[in-house]
Amino acid sequence: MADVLLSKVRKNYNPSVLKDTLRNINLDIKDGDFIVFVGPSGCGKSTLLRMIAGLEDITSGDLMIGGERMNDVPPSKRNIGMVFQSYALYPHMTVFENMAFGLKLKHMDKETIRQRVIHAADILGLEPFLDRKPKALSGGQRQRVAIGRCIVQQPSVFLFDEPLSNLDAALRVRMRLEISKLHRDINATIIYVTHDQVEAMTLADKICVLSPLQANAESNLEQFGTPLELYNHPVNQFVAGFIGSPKMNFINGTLTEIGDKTCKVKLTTGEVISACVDASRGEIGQKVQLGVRPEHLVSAQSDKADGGKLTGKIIVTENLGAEFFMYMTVESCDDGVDFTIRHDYAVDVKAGENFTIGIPASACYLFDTDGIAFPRTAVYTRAER
Amino acid sequence: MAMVQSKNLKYRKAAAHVFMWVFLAFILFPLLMVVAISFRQGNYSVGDVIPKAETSTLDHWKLALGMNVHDNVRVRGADIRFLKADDGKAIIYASDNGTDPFDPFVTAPFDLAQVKAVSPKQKLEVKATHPENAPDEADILDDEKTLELTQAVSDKVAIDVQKDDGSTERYMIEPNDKAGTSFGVYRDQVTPPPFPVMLWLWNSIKVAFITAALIICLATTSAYAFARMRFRGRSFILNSMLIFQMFPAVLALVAIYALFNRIGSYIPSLGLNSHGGLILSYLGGVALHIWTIKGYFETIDPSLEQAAAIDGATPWQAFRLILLPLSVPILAVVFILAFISTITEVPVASVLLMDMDKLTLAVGSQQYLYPQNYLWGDFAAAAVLSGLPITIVFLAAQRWLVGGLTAGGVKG
Repeated sequence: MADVLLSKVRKNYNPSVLKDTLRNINLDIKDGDFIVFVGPSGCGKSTLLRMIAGLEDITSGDLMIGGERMNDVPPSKRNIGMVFQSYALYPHMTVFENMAFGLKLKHMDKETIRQRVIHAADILGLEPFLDRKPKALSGGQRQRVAIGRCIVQQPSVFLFDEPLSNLDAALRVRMRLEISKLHRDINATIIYVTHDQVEAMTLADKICVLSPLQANAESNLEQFGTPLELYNHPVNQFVAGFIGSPKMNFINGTLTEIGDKTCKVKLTTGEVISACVDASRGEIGQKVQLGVRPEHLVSAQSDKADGGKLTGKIIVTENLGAEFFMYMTVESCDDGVDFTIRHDYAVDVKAGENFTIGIPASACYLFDTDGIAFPRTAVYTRAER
Repeated sequence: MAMVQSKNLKYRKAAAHVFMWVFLAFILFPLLMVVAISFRQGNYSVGDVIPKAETSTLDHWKLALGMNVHDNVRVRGADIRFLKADDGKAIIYASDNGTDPFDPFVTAPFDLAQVKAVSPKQKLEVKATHPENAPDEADILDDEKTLELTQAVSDKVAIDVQKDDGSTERYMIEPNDKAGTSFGVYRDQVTPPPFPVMLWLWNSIKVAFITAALIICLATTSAYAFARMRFRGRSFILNSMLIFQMFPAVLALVAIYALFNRIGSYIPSLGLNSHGGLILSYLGGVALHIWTIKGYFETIDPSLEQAAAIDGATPWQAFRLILLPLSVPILAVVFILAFISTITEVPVASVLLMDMDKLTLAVGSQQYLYPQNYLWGDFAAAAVLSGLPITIVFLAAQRWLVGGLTAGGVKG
């Protein structure tokens, strides 16, 4: 069990063209934390994980595991375990041999190896399959073998590279719970890469959001915090848009009134929305983007709609039974971007009709033109019904 | 799985089968001819494709396998006589009849009952010597008695005549025709094998086996480097290897000769006229195999070795314990290819090897074909023999030529 500390880590695959993949990554991961790296594809989250594993070298910056600088230590000496997206099981070995491979290389005595493998197999429910080859296993079982191969090594840090992305939806939910349970049982530091934000929100103690590096950006580490911190207080528009499903709606407008705890935004179509946001660093007339999550929208008649109302034309409705989604075009949104509404119950509207939705003031997020968030003064909670 | 197919597919399928059989027959026909020639009496290239029993012989095969060939040759200058002996015994006296020079011999007395007792195809061995003086005329039995005794011993005795220098020569009494109306003295003429074919075969197998094994060692390790490691000049070396491989080794014969001549003056075991030198020259053909194995290695997910690296394996252990066991099929293919190309190689071997007992079979069997005398029959037997090790290696390697070794390792 160990802390992991990254400071000013940079990765550049091709130094001659000066195009960094990762820049200025600073992370302080505490012993026993479950950290999730999320980001859109191509943002370098897998690269960062492989750098921690030692499968990629670090262009500059320091990587400390358990207080020791690990930049130039080969993977086998870093005391880490890694689960690959493709599982990477040794196809010519049985499950037992797969798990025992690393221990055999360390010349442990047979009895210890057997005990450790049996113990890991016990945790993961793999005991009936110990003498099978990987090809005789299902996807979920293979995934568990890959995890078991890590556990027997008793590493100080576990690295998971999108471990569930090859499983079907039902199995993914089950494995997610098992990984969560595993973390509780062995209480190890886990770093987990995924692009699935449900996995990120449910598993993580802390989430690290990465974005594809812009040419002159200082870093592509957008925010590092607990899941709810990211959900309620995203530092910028990228994090706000990335965390949460469906995506947050953004509406264009200008600041018209800056109060102590609230402010008013006039949308490009004329509606005025009041938001519980501290906009004191902004100026009147400044262009802003108002963000509101689909699940926070209320019906226009509701008394919770204290922020204002917004009208648009319905394009599509989706009734999932448990939830009801409406997509509409709102003129003050950017072109081509649908405004999404999530309801708990079906609403009687048809495509092509106009529909008005209410916005609670406390559910609003506000971003300036650089995408930096204004601090929110209230957090909207959906009332019990 | 069964897909719905149109009706005329049946005929097309049948036509394809017919075509395949005809094609196979065309391919196999030359081999069949070689086999036929190897069983044919005499050294003729033309004759029956399917050997007839009465005109077939195993002589070519016996010579190829290093056995003497025995031939019964009628001794024209000899007459069969018998000398007086005790009851139930006989003494054969082969006398000089004056037509051809012949050194007469007299056998030791032998039991006629024993002659009767020998089973067909077997012979009673009788010792004989050249007498210093011709036997007394009075001791020679009359014609009537002689005919009777000749019929009794004909085809039943083998007479080993002790020669003055200590060696023996074998003679037999045989009927001159099938009816058995006349009899003659026959000498067992022994033809030793002209060339050490079995030694050549052993040389071929030895050279091919060591070459193929060394090629596997070299090609796998370098293919691993080319497939998995990134280093300066990687693609340049790969491409130049491919281009150099396009020039046949024959073009460099002179260079190869000069090179090994020079090497031999420092390390004789790698020089001219040594199998070590030949093997070394064959190792130059490793480039194509590197490409083959590299292609296979690249189909194996590198995450397997990365997982091994995290498990604590050194690059060598990852190669040896993970990659190699998964590459067995391609290693078997490369082994077979290297083995075949080595065993059938002529130009380089014919330049580098000189001594008769160093030759490989492919080079040596050409000794049968010299302008004055094409020994097609002996050549054919040696040629069929040279196909034997290839067949055996093929059969042995077959169990390694399996698919699906990497199944289940990674999610495809």
